[in-house]
Amino acid sequence: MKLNRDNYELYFINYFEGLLKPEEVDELMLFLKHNADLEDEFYSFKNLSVSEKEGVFFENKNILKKSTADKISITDKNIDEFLIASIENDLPAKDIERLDLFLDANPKYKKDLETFKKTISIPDTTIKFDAKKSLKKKAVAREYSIKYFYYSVAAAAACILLLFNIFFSDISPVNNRKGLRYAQKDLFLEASMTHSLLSDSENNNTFNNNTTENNNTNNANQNLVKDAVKYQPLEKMTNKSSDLLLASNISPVVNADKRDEYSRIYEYVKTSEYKMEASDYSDVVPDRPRDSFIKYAANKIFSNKSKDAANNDKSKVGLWDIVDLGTYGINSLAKNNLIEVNRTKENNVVKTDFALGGNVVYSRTSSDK
Amino acid sequence: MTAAEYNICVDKYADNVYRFILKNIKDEDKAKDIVQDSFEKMWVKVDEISAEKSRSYLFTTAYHTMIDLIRKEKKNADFEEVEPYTQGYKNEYMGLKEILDEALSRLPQIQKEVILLRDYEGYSYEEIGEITNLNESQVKVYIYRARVFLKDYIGSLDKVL
Repeated sequence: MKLNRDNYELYFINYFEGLLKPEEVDELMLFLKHNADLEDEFYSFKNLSVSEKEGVFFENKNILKKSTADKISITDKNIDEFLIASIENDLPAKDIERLDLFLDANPKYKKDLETFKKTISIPDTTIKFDAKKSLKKKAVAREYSIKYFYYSVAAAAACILLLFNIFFSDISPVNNRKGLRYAQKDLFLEASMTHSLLSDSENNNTFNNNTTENNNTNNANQNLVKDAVKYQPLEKMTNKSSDLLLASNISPVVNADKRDEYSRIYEYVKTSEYKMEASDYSDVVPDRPRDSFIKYAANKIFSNKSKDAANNDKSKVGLWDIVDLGTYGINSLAKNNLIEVNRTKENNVVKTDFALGGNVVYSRTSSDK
Repeated sequence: MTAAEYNICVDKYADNVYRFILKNIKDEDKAKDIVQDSFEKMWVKVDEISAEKSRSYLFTTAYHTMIDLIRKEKKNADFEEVEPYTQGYKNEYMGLKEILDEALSRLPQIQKEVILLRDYEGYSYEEIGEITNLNESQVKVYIYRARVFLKDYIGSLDKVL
């Protein structure tokens, strides 16, 4: 810093306190020689320098110190802050004492304190959210979300493919029946089996009659039975129509032998012998454990096989594999017992696809005949 | 947080969130929608939220949903305008609760929110700041202003208390 008339005071002080370097002292002397008017002022600084050795101290400096606990004084102007802090439980213990003292000295503010206390809102606990139940979630759905996802995807795939297959696939237009019916599973299956056997009986021409007198009637009866069996197969799948077929309305137009035959067939299909024989229906009553669903799905869909290997592999994914997979998804989700069946008779003439879930049947039967 | 813990939250906090929102917007259907929405949002993030933070998450979500709703309905400006009250126009038989409700309804929206979070739920200044996106000092200032306003309002009707 260069000595000049703007900063000479600092040099004067430092000179008398012995803080200047020799060259700065020389500079100062030269400055005073050129600025003689400052000489008196220079010597006046001599008396400003006070050494500790002189024993001069400010005795009461402690009163100037602030303790960390020291607070702002409570006054008329800031009393609201203290009152609010008080009702907010935001006042340290020391300040509570100070506030109490202030209020004792200024009782007019006690009323303000009481009014501030009244500003605290109290919730009305009679007000309830009455739809809590709708907010709650089922733990299982969330905790098994991956499984849930697989089921959902499979169920959606099944629904789409079932509908697609039943309603839009390439089938013979000659005789095509499809629809949604009410059914009971056991009766449905039995009636379906019966239908199959009756069809075979019909093909074997077991409806022949001996008397001419009865021929026309029998032909009419045969036609009725044919209609019942051949053209209304879905009707047979219902509880009501299977009963009708076996015992009631149809029986008057069927001779006693045939009626007995139907009854015999009906009894037969309920036996274990028939079930063994009807092994080609084994997929009708699947008994796969449902908890193997994910493994099953993974094997079906994510099988890491080459295209050629997959084509030669019977386990490759096909339409009905996916539908089958989907039905397991639906079953697992809906706790249902959905069954799907696709069946083609040996001559590839009659095709039957149906899906049974609970008491509902989706079915399509087609024939070139 | 598990589904079971989530369901416990429903039992513990649905009423509180509902009261807080209802007190602010005074529309039962909308308040219910906000509660529903808040819980659904929490359910979506149920795996990320700890049970300890669930209450704070719910109030924060409900608060912001409510603010969005208010803005959407362009009510914000109305809420911000404090209607000057006049002395002596109230029914002289009005109780403290009704007077306080009336006073609360005249507070600027943000002041009403911080006061209700403080009084209804006992949230700290810091927690209120987290919910409302204010700093602690701002929360204190709003609470101070609200208390003074409420005190003056109640005081002005003191004769009927």
